[in-house]
Amino acid sequence: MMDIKQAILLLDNIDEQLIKDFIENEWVKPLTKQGTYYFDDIDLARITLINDLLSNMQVNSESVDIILSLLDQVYGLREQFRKVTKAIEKQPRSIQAEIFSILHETQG
Amino acid sequence: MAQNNPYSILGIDKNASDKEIKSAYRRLSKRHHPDLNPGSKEAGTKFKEINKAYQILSNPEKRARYDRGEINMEGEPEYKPSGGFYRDYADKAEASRYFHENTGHFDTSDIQNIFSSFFTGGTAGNHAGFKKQPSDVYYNITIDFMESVSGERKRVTMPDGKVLDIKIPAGVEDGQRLRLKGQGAHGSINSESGDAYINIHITPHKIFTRKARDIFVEVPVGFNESLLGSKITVPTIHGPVEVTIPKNSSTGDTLRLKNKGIKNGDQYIKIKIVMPNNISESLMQSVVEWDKASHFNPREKMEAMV
Repeated sequence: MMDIKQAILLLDNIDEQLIKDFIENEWVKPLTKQGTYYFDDIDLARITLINDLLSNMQVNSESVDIILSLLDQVYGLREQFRKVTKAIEKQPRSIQAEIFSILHETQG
Repeated sequence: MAQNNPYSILGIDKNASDKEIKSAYRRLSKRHHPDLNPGSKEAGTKFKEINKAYQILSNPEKRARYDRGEINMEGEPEYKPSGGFYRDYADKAEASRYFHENTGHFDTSDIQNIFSSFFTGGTAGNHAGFKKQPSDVYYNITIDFMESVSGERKRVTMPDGKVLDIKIPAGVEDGQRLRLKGQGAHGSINSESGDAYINIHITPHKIFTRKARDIFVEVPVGFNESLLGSKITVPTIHGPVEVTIPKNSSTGDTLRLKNKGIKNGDQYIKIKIVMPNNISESLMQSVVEWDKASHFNPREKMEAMV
């Protein structure tokens, strides 16, 4: 956990205003306590990604909304998929084999 | 080596302008950014290479030194965002505050909905697959059109090695699901066996098509046969049948053969007039004369409709 000043020291080419804009757009959601923002590593990585989109890839800010929404869905689905995989791992071998056989068939 | 050549990495030639370099970099980094390709390990390496290449080529001094052979890509720092890539965190529990917001809150019933929408396929959604006994098994088999029409008994070895005797009912439809009671997996969860569900896929026939119990077929008829009227032999799913083509039939005219479909269905024959490729001089001459004398306008109806 770090505040915005510490976060800026770790980020290249990103200033305080930019981070505040990201937060205002609800692209980044740091923990907020009594009006002060606290950032995790994931927030820094997300800020870097958004900055990559806007500067290196020249994506406009409307498109950032769409991209983040789709990305969040992809990562959300990946989490669901991991849960399902865990549930399958807990099944007896015979059930696992049935599931894989069906998956194999439906991929054809 | 091609891999270490920044030009080939960005897919541009040695004389590329700054603008071309920039646009190649943008295009490739969008495609290969690791955070936009969460499942691909390759994207990570590729993206780093693209960035190294761009660091050299976007800097005129470095580019000139590379062109003179003074430096290579080895010395370039790797692209590594401070804090790491987003995907390194997004796949962990702490990311949930981001994705739950947009994905809607997932709970197990959502997972069940996803599964049942996959499992029930095109058939009615009223019996969700997920809620069936866990030891039910699902198979797919493909049969040809004629087998689906007449129905038959089939012994089939499934991909998991299970041998099933399947009675395919006459007139089974594509996508229909058969249930074989007690033929599912032996209960490791329940003591009794589950059922086997078989999804039927039917390969289309070359000439017959089907709508419910009726069979449709298009039959080529010579212009002479249609002009004079004639008896021709037409295939049906029950074997060849002799059919009378009435005088003056046209393409698109449809004849019905009662009870020649599936069960009590009918077969419909659509006539398609075909011209011969050898017409004699004298016949040609007659047609020319007829054409002059007659006022036949085959598009009369159509013209009235425009």
